[in-house]
Amino acid sequence: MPETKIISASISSRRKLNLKKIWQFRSLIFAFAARDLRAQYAQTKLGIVWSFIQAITAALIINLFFGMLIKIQIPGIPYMIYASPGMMAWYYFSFIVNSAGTSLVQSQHIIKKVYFPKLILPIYKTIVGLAEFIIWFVLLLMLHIYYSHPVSINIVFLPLCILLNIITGLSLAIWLSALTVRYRDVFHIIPYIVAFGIFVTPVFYESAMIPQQYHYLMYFNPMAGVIAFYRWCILDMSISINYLFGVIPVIMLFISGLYYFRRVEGIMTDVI
Amino acid sequence: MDENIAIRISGLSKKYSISEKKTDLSLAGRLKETFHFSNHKKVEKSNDFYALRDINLEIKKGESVGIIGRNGVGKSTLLKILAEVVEPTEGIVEINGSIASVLEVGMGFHPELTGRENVFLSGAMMGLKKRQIAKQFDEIVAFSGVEKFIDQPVKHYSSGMYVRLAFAVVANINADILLFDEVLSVGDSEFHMKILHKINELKRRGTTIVLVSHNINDIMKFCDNAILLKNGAVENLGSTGNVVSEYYHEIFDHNAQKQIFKNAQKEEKQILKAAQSAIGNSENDYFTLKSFNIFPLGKLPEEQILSSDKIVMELELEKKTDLYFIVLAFTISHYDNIFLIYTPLNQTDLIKNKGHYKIQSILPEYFLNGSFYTVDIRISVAEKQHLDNFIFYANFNSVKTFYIHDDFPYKIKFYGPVSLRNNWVVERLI
Repeated sequence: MPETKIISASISSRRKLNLKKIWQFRSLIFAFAARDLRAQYAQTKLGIVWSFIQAITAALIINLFFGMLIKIQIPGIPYMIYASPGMMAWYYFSFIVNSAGTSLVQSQHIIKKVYFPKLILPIYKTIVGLAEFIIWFVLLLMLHIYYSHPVSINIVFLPLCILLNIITGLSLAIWLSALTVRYRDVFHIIPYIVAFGIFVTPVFYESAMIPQQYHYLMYFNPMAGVIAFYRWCILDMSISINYLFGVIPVIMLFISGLYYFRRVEGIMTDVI
Repeated sequence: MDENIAIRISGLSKKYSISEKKTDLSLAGRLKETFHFSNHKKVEKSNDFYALRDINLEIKKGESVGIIGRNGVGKSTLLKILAEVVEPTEGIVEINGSIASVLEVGMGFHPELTGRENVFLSGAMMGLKKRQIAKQFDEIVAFSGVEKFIDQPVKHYSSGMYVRLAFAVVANINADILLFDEVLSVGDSEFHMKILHKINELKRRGTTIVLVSHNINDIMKFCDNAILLKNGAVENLGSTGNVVSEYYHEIFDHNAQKQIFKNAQKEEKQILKAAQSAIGNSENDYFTLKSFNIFPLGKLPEEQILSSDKIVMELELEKKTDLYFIVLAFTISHYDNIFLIYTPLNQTDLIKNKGHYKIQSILPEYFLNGSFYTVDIRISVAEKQHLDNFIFYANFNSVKTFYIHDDFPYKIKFYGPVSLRNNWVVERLI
C-alpha cells in the first residue's frame, strides 16, 4: 500500500527544500544527460571528436596569445601545462553557468506538461558538462606526456576538485535559472558574467600577477580558489589558505539559491 | 484516508492573476512597477481569474471518470493539478497510489533519439526506474507496432508511428492512476481499437482512469462516470449518460451556442444558395435546390423537435433535364462529426422527368436521441440507371443543423445519438 501523496499550495511547504524528491528522480537526471549528449552528436560523422577538436583549438589559441605573444612565463613549467588545469576548470564552470542557468527556460515545454522536481534541470547539465570536462582532462594528460611533465600524486584529490567546481557553478546557475523564469533579462546577462569572469580569475595568468592590494578580492572569487586547487592537485603548486574565503560566497549563494528556486518552483508553470 | 478512494479533492481552487500574465517580464518592467512608474498594477490586481473554484470530489479506486465541459471551464487545469504540473492556490488533493499522466502525446520525446531511447526517457520522466521500464519494454514495443524501427531516430517516424509509440509507453507502465488529456483519439482506427481494448484491460485490473476530452464518444466509451465542469466549478457528476445528456442541454441553452446555431442557420441559407448555383458558382444544368427543411411531422415547422416526433426532412428541387438521379440521399451526422445515417431514396425513377419536386424523408420517432445533428445532401446524375455512369455529382455539406429535445417518458441516459426500436425475442428456457 503506497503512502498517500498530498498536493497543496506550496506556501506552507516552501520552507522545505524537498531534496528527497530529487533523489527519487535521480534516474531522470541521467536520462536527460544521456539525451543531451546523444542529441549533440546525432548525425555527425566525427561525433565526440568534434569536442576534442574544439578543446585543442581553444588550447592552441590561448597558447599562441598568452604563451607566445604576451609571453607569460611560469618558472619551471611550460605555459600550456600551467594553463590547461585552469582552462579545464573554467570551461566546465562556464558550461554549467551557461546551460544550467538557461535550463528552465529551455525546457519550458516539458515543465508545462510533466511533473518532476525542477531542480533536476540545472543539476543534469553538470553531468552533460562532465563529458567535455573528461575530454579536456584527456587533452591535459596528453600535454603532460608531450612535455614529459609528471602529474602530481595529489591527483587523487581530483574528484574533490570536480565536486567543488560543480558546486561553484551550480551556486550561480541555480540562482540564474530561477531568475530567468521571471526575468528574461537574465538570459542576456549570463554570457557577460562568463566573459567577464574569465579575466578577473587567474585562468591564463598567475595569481601573483595581480597587485598585492587586490589579492583579498581574488580570495573571495571562488573560481580562483577552485583553479588554485586544481593546480595543487595536478601540478603540486602551492595554494594559499586564504582561498577558503571563497567558500563563503558559494555557500551563501548555494543555500539562498535553493530556497529562491523552491519559491519560484510553485509558480513556474504559471509564469514561464 | 479511506482505502477505496484513489483521489480526494477538497476545497480546490486555482487563481490566475491576469496581472501576472500580462506583466512585463523584463527587468525594466519590474523596475517600473517597483518604482510606481506604472499605474497598471492596481487595475490588474482586481482581475484575478479563478480557473477552478472550490472543487470537492472523490474518485474511487478502479473508477474511470471523464471530465467534460465547454472550452475554458478548467478541465485541463484540474488535470494538471492532479498531475502536479500546476500548483493549486487553495485546497488539498490526496492521491492514493502511483500516478502517471499524459497531458500530451509524445511529451518529452526527442527527435534525434531512437525509439528505444525515447521509451526510456519518457519512462524516466514519469518517475520510473530504468529496470521498471526494461521489464515492460517488449510489451511497449509490441503494443506500438513499430518493432522494425525501434532503433531509428523518431524524427524519421511517421506521425502515426510516433503517437503509437508514445501512447504505448503510457499504457504499459502499470500505474495505479492514469490521467489523460485529449490523447485517446490518436492514431488510425485500428490503433484506436487497440487503445479501447487496452483501456478496458486496465480497467479490469483496477486502474483508476481520469480522462479529459472534448470527444464525447471517448467519454462514453471509456468512462463509467463523468464530471461536468462549468465556470471552474462542478456542475454535475454521476453516471456518464446523465452527465453527457445534461452537457448537451447546456450547450444548447448557452447563449453563445444559440448564436452559433443561428449563424449555422444563416450559413445554411448561403449553402443552399450556393447549392442552387451548384459547384464553382456556375449554374448546374441538371437541377436547382429550392429549399430544405426539417420539422416534426404534423406540427408547425418552427416548433422544436422532440425525440417522440417523427422527423420530416423535406427537399424541394427543380429538375431541368430528363436524366436519372441515380443517387439522391440525405446523410445525418452527429454534433461530434460522427457520420451516423445514410438514407437514400430507393425509387429514383420517381423523379425521372423534369419538373418541380417535393421530396420527403421521414425518420421514425425515438430514433435520434436528444442532441445536435447536421444533414448533408448527396445527388448524382446519370444518363442510365447505372452507378458507374454518372455524369455529375454533388455533395452539399451541413445544409441543415437541428437539435432534438429529449422527451422520453422516463428519464433516460444518453447512450449515444441513435436508438433502435427493433424486434427482440425473449424465451424462457427453464
